[in-house]
Amino acid sequence: MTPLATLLTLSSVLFSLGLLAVLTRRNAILILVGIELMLNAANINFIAFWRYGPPDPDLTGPMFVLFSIAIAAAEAAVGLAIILMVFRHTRSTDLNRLDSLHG
Amino acid sequence: MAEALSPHLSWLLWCVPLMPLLAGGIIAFLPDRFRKAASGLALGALSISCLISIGALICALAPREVGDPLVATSHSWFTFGEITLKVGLLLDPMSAAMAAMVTFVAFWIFLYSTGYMAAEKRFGRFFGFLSMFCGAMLLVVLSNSLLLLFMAWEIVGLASYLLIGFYFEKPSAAAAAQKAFITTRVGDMAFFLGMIWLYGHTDTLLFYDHGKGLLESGALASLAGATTIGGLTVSAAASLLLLVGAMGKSGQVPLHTWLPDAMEGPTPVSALIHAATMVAAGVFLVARTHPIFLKCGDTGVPLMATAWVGGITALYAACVALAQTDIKRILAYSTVSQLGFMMIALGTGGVAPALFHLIAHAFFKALLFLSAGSVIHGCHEEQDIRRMGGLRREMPKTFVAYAIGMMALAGFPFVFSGFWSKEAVLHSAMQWPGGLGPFSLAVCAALLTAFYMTRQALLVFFGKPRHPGVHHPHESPPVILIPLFVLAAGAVLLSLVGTPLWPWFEEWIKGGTAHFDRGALTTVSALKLVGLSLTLVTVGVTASWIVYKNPSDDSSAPDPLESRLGGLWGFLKSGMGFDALYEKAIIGPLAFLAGGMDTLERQVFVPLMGLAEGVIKWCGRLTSSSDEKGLNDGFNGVCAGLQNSAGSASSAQSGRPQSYLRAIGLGMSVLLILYFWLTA
Amino acid sequence: MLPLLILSPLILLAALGAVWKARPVHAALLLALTLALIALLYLAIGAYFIGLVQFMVYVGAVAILIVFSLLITRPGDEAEEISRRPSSLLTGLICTVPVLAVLFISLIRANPPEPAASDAPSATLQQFGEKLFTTHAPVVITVGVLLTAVLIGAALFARGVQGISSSEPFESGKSLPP
Repeated sequence: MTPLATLLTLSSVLFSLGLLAVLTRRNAILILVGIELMLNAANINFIAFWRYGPPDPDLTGPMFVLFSIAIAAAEAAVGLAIILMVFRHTRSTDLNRLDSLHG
Repeated sequence: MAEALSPHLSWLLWCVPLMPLLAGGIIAFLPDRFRKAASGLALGALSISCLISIGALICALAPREVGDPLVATSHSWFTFGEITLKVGLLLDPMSAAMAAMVTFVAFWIFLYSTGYMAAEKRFGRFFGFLSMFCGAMLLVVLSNSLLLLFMAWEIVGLASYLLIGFYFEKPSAAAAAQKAFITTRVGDMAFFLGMIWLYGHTDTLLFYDHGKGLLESGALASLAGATTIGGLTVSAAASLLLLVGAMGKSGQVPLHTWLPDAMEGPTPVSALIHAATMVAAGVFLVARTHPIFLKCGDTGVPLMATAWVGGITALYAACVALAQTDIKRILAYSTVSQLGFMMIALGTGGVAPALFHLIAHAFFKALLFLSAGSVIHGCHEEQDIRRMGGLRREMPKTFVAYAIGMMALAGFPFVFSGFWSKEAVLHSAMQWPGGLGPFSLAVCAALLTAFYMTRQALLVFFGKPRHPGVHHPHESPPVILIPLFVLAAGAVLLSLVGTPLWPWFEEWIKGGTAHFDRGALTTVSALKLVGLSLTLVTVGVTASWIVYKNPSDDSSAPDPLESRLGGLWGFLKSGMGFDALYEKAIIGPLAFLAGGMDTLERQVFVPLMGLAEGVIKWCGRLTSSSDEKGLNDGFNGVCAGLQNSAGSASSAQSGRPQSYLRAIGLGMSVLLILYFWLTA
Repeated sequence: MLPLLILSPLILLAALGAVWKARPVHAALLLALTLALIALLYLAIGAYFIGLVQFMVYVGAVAILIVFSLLITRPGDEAEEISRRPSSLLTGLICTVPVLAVLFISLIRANPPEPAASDAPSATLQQFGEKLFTTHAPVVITVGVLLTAVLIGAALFARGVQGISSSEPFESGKSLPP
């Protein structure tokens, strides 16, 4: 198995695990954990292709990953702030309880 | 004036009937309060017609061949494919005399009516009907087409119905109008059939049409040539049918029962329509179509029928008149009797004597009716002669007028036209080759005529007053008296043109010239006849005077003849049971049939309709309930189902983000797998 | 290649633990471990800068942030900390496995070419700096603005925005007051 294939497999499985966390977890913060895992899987993909793909003098891969990390950090901050606000209002982080927009 | 008039006669002649018809039409739209306007319009239109008629009469005075009329117009009226119906006007001595008579007499009766009907609320309508009648009657006499004559004949019948039933609130008047119309209808059906037969055979209904007309030699020959049922020629059969029509209109037995009841109408109506003009229309029809009657092969059946019908009617009516107590009914039966005389004259071969008697009768019968009206008016609407008496002193002028009329009718000699006209009738009946039957009937009838007229005069004007109540009779105003005197003068003056000394009228009708013949009265046959007439009048008057010279003062006492005749009196008074006969034989079965139809309707058709109605209602309820349950509930159910499914569908929106994400993830991956599979 | 083969399973195990563990704090710490291992992976590949950034930002900031949030929002008793239910796991798997399948299938179909065994491409700091501040300068500025906004927002949230009261307990199913 080529290194690229290895890394790609890794990122796929990591992504699925992150998705599983998002779809299954009840705690809102742990869902954020899953989201972080998914983002990281995407980052691994970019780095893999930069390292083992066709030569690219533009450093596209790492650039992208850089910004992705920055955005991820910002998003985690905002998300956690929202969760904390909701927690302040509802005394719970259970996502299932926030269903007032139900049909 | 004649020369100035004659080029324009063919269109001027149309004005004669059309002016009164137009007046009647305008009056129909006037409200009731325009009384003077209505009577003025009627009188004005009629006077114009009168002037034109007299002018036409003057034009027609010059002797002409019979069969070559002065004016004979024809215009196409209707075209069906190749068949054209034509109508037109005819002016010959017969129609000129009739038109002048009708307009003249009608004018004075109109004038009389303005006074007589003054208290009537429907004054205007009266004049409207009268005008319509006059216009139609003039159309009858002036028509050149049998079809136009028939249509005008029907309008005359309609006017008669409207006028008899003028006081329609009275049930007896309404019934009388209906009776008149239906009885004359029977005659009209025969007339119509006869007319159709003639048309079918000769393809023309015009009388004179440059040789192609009905009364001209070509048509007459073809009518006489063809034979039909019973060996009669077509002309004979058609003539018989026309005779039945004339019988209906002129009140001959057995279609006479309507005339006495027609006295329910106002007196001017009785004078104009049921004495002078409409009833004469039947006689006029036979006179007009006399050439067809004449050309009937060997047997001469129609003429024989005419004479016998006339004779029977004359005697029958004279007998019945004896037993009447209503002043107008006596005069009505007298009219029937005189019409019988005219029919005798027609049947025995003389159009001229019949027409002369018709015109003379018009004058004196109208005079008699108008004086009777004056009497009724003066006695405050009393009509029973048993409750009158001694009016000679209280209504002298009316008495004079009445006396002239009565003497003319009874046949007082020499001065009065009635004597000469009756003479002429008896003369032609005496000379008839078909036998002396009608002659004898006429003689008996003349005797009875003198008798009952004298009776009427004695009971009304002589003796002690028998009228109950405080009110005294009063003489009538001039507007009523002046027409009486004019008509009286006419009754006398007409005799000038009809005597055998100078038979101007007869010759004029026949198309020749009259000569003054001093010796005409001294021939044996003439003397015999004059002697006979004198005898009849004397015997009749004397007998009546003997019976009635001292009528009892009590108005409810029986008539002297009644006590002598007993049951026969009642039989005569009821018109010899004709009304009862018709009631039993015709009206009874018809009423029974009508009752049966009514029962059928009620018991069969109405339940059937109810059934149909029930079915339709049931269907309606069915559709309504199916609409209710089917459509409404179905629709509601569908809506509820939609709402429920929407409810269940919306439960997929749980409000929880994770389920949404799961759905997105699953959906997306399924799509991609599908994509891979399809592009594999 | 060897470091890859060693690190990959470790990463997966740690991630699995982050996903699976019932206690939130354990899961968060395992997340931190995962992120650290991924940073090591980056270093092993030769993306040194990125690896260090990963350490600093993810492990040093995000993971810590998550742990602190968990500590703030800790419920009263132990029972509520269990954050997983069997039925939801099944549906979760049903939704996740197809995604994995799609990824694998696309991976197989894509058939990435055999790279020539090459050295890591150069990624010096100077190159990073050049790229950042010339070609991607606008992006850098935008990200800076974004991070500033996030900072301000988070500070506002932490302080508490006017109008929202947290006095009434929240009932599931009732709509929120405006």
